[in-house]
Amino acid sequence: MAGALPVLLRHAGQRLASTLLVLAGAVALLFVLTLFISGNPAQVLLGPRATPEAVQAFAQAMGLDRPVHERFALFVWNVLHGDLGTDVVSGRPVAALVVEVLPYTVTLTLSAIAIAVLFGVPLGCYAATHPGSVLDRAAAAVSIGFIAIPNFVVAILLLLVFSIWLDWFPVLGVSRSGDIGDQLARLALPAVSLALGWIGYIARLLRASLLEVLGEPHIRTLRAYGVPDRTIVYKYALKPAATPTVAILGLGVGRLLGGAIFAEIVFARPGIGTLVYDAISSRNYPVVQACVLVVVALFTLTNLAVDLSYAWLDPRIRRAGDR
Amino acid sequence: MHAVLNRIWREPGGRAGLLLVAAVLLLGLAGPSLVPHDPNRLDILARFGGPSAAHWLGTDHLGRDLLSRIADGGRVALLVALSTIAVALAAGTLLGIAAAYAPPRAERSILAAFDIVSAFPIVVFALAVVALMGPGLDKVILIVAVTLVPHFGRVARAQTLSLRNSPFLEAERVLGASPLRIALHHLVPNILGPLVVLASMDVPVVITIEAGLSFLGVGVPPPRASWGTLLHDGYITLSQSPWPVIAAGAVLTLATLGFTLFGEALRDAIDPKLRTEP
Amino acid sequence: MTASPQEAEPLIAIRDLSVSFATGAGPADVLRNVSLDLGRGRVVGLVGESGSGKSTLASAIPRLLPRNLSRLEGSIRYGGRDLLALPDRELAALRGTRFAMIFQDPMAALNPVFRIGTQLVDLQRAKRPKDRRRALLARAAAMLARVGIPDAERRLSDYPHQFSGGMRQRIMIAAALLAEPDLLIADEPTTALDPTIEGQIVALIEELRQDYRGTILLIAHSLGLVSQLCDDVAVLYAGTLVESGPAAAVLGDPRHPYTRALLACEIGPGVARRATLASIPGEVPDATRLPQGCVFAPRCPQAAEPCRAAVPPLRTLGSGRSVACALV
Repeated sequence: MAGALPVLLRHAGQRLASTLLVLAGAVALLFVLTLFISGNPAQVLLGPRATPEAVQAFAQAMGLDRPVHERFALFVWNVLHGDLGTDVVSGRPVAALVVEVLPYTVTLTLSAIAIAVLFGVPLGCYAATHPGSVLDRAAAAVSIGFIAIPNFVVAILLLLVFSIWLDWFPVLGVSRSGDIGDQLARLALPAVSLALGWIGYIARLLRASLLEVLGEPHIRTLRAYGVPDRTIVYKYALKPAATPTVAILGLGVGRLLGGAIFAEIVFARPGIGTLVYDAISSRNYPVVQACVLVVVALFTLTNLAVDLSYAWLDPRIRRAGDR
Repeated sequence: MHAVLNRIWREPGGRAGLLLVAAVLLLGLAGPSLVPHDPNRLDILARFGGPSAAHWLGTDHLGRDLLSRIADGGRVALLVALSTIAVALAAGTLLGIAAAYAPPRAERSILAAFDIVSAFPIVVFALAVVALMGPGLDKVILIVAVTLVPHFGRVARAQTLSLRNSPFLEAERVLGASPLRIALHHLVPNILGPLVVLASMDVPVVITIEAGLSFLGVGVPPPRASWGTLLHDGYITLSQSPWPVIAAGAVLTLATLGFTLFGEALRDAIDPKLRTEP
Repeated sequence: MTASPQEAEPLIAIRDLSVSFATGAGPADVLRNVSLDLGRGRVVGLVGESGSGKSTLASAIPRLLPRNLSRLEGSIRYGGRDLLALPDRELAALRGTRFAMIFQDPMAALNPVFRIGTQLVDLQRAKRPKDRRRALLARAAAMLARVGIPDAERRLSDYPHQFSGGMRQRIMIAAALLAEPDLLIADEPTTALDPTIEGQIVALIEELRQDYRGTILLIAHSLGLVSQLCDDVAVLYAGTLVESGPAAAVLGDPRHPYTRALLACEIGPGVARRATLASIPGEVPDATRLPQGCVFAPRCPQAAEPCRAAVPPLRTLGSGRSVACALV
């Protein structure tokens, strides 16, 4: 027991190391991709609005004729210093552009996760405690439907029904004013479009793992001592059942971030998605590269957090080094 | 094979999946030659038409027949899905087997590479590549295949590891069979079950990604119809006519739903243990 | 050994209890017309091979039966009420207040991801709905110390995996005693433990009899354990109660051929439990395909024509003994 903290720290240290390795690999991969550029690399790397003189200067500065490993070293050096390039016309660092829109994407993603958990968890718990019931079967059918329908289709249909036909929600964009109500109204549809599949996903995962846990002997102990069903399901079964669900949610954050791109584009919300979309149509590679790097970092760090959360969910992992 | 199909057919979900998959296959393979209109024929006067006797699903913003374009898009979706998964399955299986047999250092490198590729959400990775190389069907297939390789590779490695020391492979080795022969003739057939299940479960994923990339304008280039480009065109003109979006969205959803149900039923029929795999 | 079962009103009177489960091979008749009294303050041992229905009989009292239950007939009278006819909610109110259970596998019986203290608080909640958490924790600590867990107060904040198997079974015993139940059901409490630990737990149960005077239903694999701990004994074979009565009488002078065979197989307590019936030819019949007549007849050395013709009823022999054998 005395060793619990060091064990936890060592575990965290190992996970952090492998996270850093993956991030380093991602940076390397992004660099390798630049070797496959079609057209004038200097032009593409500088962005579409660069003047010919700038392109010339850049090609020399970057030493595009220099050996690959030197260029790679320079690239890594810049990334380590938070230098993701400069948007030539505005003169602003690309990193600043990304940082500016990042909160919108994070807000959207977090709202979607919140909605998905808020609806998915009770649905999964109900289905697991009433297997075979009408609502369980309905939930199973609806869940798989939610999972199957691509989120940008959901987004467009929500836009069609609620904004165009019913006119309940503002159509597009994000509120720049401080009006919380307006901000939430503009957040609602994109977040729901992103969350819908996850409601079904969480409900299904949780139902399966809850059913497994509810069949375990320790649950029978609680029943034998008259512990109320609500306490059994929501306290004693939910926590062990949460581990596999959280694990898969962690992996799913990547898809969620990918989905956020679509939600932002359909609802014309500022964010990483719209930034990268606009950058692609003009082949503004520095911006694309920066956005990709940020999304990959978010994804990897989320997985790190998820991994560390197991220690909280399951004390057997936390104190694995005890014996 | 027959037994597996039978088992799928017995489950209501599997039956629905099988029927939907059959419908999508029919639409994509035979549809383009059955539909009454040329998918690219413009008829500006008839644009934004709702469903009618002449155009069952209506027309788009250029007056093109939506049913014909959806059938055409179905062909693209199937082409992309099948070739992507074939590439990923082959590459992933080989890398996975190689990792299982490789010395520890090489094995670690392969696994690290899997981790790095997996750290890129598929759509994001695709955007990065397309931004550099420009859009194109071949690139979509290549990118999505690369991102799916770790998926197959990890399972292939785990399966190989569990089989590696089994008596029948040992016997082959003692008899002097070459490693390649062992891999191709004995290992692959034995680890294929879970991989095929995985592949079938990835079909709806790839269809969605192809549609998504085409929706973003970086997938299938116009004028070729894809469900994604149909949705994009429909989205742009959503306030004029909801039909393109409804028709393309519904077909895309039914297709992914069908392949999802089919994949799950196939998994349950072949190996229920895989149920716990993410 | 103060009163024999029929002198006082028994705590629990089971009459003609039949339980079946739905299985892939059709309905499995796990218990057939079982009648048994659990006398007040007595330790009743329930013996039989795996699959004889002992655990089902024990779980039928607090009605903790699996979902695939397809038939539940007869009656279980307790305090003037039939437990089988009681509405779910009223029955649930008896669990943890009047009935408590100890299970076979102490490794699995506790939730792995909650602290012992938290679990012991919730396990006491039904009995003491109004007490504060702190008071319940103090009671738990005192009881853990009583059942022999050193440093009990501090260990309340430990998780189950930090205890050994024997210690976990002590925790389960503490949980049962905290409920101060009328009936304590112990489902093979020592089977999953190794022999040294088993001895310690048996000694603990004997010692605790000084404080706890309620009824104990002890399900046991071995007759040795029964002779050591029990006042009464009931022998189950393939879902049928073949013999019951005061332990000393039944074990000293078994009447049913099956009881005799069981005794003959057992050399001493705790020895070769798995091989208990290896010396009786044949095997336990499948609960989905029970033979006609006496269930033991196919393996019985004395089986005669009447045995195969009809199921022999459980007959009273006097002095609290009963036996279900056509030849007695």
